Amino acid sequence: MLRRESTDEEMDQHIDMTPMVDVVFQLMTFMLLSSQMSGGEIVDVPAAVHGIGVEKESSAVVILLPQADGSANAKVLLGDTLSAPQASDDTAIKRYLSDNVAAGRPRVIIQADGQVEHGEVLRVAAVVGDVEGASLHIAVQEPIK
Amino acid sequence: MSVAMNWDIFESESLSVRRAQSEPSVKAALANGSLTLDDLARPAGTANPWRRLGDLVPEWPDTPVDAPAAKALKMHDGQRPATVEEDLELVDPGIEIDMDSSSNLEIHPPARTSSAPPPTGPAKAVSATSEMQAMQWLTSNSEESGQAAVIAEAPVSPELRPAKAPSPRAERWLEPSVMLEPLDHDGPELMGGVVAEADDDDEFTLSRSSVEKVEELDLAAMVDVAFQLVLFFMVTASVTLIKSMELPKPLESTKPAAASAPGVGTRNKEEVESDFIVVAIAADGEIRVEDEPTISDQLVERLREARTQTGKTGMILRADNKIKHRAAVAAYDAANAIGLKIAIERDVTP
Repeated sequence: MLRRESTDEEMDQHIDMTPMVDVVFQLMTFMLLSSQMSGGEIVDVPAAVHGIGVEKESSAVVILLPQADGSANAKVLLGDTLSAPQASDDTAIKRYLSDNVAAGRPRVIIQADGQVEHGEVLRVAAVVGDVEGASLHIAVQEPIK
Repeated sequence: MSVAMNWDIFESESLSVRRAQSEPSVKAALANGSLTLDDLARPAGTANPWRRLGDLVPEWPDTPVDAPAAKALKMHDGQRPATVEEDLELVDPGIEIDMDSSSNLEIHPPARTSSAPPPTGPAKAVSATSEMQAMQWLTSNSEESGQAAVIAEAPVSPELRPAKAPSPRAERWLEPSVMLEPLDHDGPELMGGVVAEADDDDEFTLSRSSVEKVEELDLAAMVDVAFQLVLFFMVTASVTLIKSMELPKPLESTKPAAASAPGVGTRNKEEVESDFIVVAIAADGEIRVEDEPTISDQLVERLREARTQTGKTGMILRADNKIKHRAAVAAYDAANAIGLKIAIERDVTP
């Protein structure tokens, strides 16, 4: 091939974007896999190492808070916010859970404060057991490292 | 007497160009063999036609050819004429060049052919540009096909049968790298057996001027789309995951306390205790594993030991209703840590 020995061909001034694309996809994968699961933002739920992530949108959330006056009965909120309506009795809880199961939200997440008595949690859990098709989940949060 | 000048030398063998070579250096190169008389030269920095060194060197004044150079002039090629004049005769426009069936090149001086025009003067009167004329003559005979290579396929005249072996220098005229260039191509102009650039003498090359470059895929648009997708998913991802642990539902119990566990259902106390490690938490926070007291930090190790000793595959939590929910979750987490099934016993005594 007849070629010029002194190469003065114009330099390719395009930036090689292949490493950039690789980094973008690595970042995307990292962000997807390292997303922290929530659970302790509203209620100071107990910490636990082991747990699974349950979609909040497809679950019925019941919040249990200790009473301000220190009484044994927990304050039960039917919803995922502190402004959710408070349950007056177990019948209201059961109705709320039945409606959610009928609406396609069979998972019941009990977000109970760590200071709530164990018996109160089991009382609500027993109501969950009375609702056909509902499954019981106890909300926890990541341990503080 | 002309002033010594510099020359651009085109080496026929390596197809490279030496620029601005002085006449003594050219002669020295001829003497040491790095250049041959068939190499081409032209005034440095000009676009003049290339000329053979064999034609130029004798014209250079005041610089007598060194003995090796003179020897090279005469003994460069055993097949070629001994003198420059005979060398020029070889490329006289009147010569006849034919190829036989085996593509051997035959060159006949005009005096030996009947079809060639008679020579117009003595050999010494032949100008140094006779090679150019010969080349033009060669190419003009092949214009009908447009390819100089067609020369090799010209009909053979019986009267021009070979009288001697082809000259290597004449063969060089038809080297494919030079002669097979199309005459009507758009590239550099074919002149004097070499390709000369008509407008740009600074960048001399025999390669095709238009080099096809492979277009690379432009990834900029792809990166833009990737970033847009990342932003879209980050902004619109409204799925919130709540970390939780799935527990069996404690069913309505009867006295004495009953328990529930996945796949267990409601069984009496004795049946449950036969399959599950009992973890009891008293109202004062005391933890007992199989009736042996322990502390919360050692609960996992104690459960592992109990599993090894008893072969039981689950843990049943028998906790007082007054304990904190946090302590119960710690027991669940310890059971999950070693893969034990979890059962919950609910004391319904008032």
